[in-house]
Amino acid sequence: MNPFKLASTEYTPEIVLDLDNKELFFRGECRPENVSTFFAPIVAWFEELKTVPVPEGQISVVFNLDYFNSSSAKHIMDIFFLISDINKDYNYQLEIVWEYDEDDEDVYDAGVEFEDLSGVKFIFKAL
Amino acid sequence: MKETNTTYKMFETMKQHKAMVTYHGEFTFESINNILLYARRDIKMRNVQKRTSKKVYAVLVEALENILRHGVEKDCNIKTTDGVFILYKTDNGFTIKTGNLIKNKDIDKLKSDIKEVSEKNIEQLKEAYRHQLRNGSISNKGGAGIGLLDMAIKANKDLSFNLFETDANTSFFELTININQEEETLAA
Repeated sequence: MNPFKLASTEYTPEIVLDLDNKELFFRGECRPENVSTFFAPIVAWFEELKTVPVPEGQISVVFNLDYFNSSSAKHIMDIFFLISDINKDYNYQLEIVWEYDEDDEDVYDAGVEFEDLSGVKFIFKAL
Repeated sequence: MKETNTTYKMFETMKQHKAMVTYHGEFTFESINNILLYARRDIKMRNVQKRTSKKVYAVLVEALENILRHGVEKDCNIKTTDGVFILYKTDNGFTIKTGNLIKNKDIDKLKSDIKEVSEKNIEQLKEAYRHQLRNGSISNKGGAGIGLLDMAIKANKDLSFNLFETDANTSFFELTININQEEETLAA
């Protein structure tokens, strides 16, 4: 499956979604000018997982978001719902690694909410 | 001479009130980026706890994006609106003030959002935020309908609003948000 790669800007994160190498991460700040346009190809990439052979074993999706705005939060939530479906209905073992600054209770709390609402397994890592 | 005095008065007022960053003029995605850059740099220089500076930054982004998203759009080839923004240092933390014009036909939604934030306690606001995250959709203005909830929760409900008609078509919306450093330290 074709990897999705995006370099970071001062207001959007670096993103790598590479299934073959099991390297999946979001890193940086997320407050794109147009959230829907920004997240559309990312959602499409996760949707495509439903159509390809399922790799064996666990796959970590690392979220290391220093800051994300509230409209990004809504899209990130939708990605977690999608991951939940992919795990349940397509037998993937995707888990979320939620990395946060140990001083940043808001980002940690957001991770707890996302885990609670999506039912996907989160591993919390304070940095 | 008169003109000079006016500027001096503005300068003194801002200084007295410990204004850190002020901006009046066109709000675009680009101008917001620049305001955030200056504000972030200035907050860092104040030697505040990282958790406070992060909270202030998060509220700043939402407050500035709200102006751009809901302000009366100017007739221009890029999305732009007029507004005012001031970041103050207070004895206990920081205060963010924003103001922008809003079309009267758009104020009903804002009024109901203000009512919700005013009437609910923190736990109820968190529940409303969770509900929007789960069930909400992105509006045609690009918002998730949770910006105000998010700010209210982050500011521990220490915020106030003012909305008044300026003419038959427009109203002015003022938002004041306080981020208290002391409370945070106590809660840690």
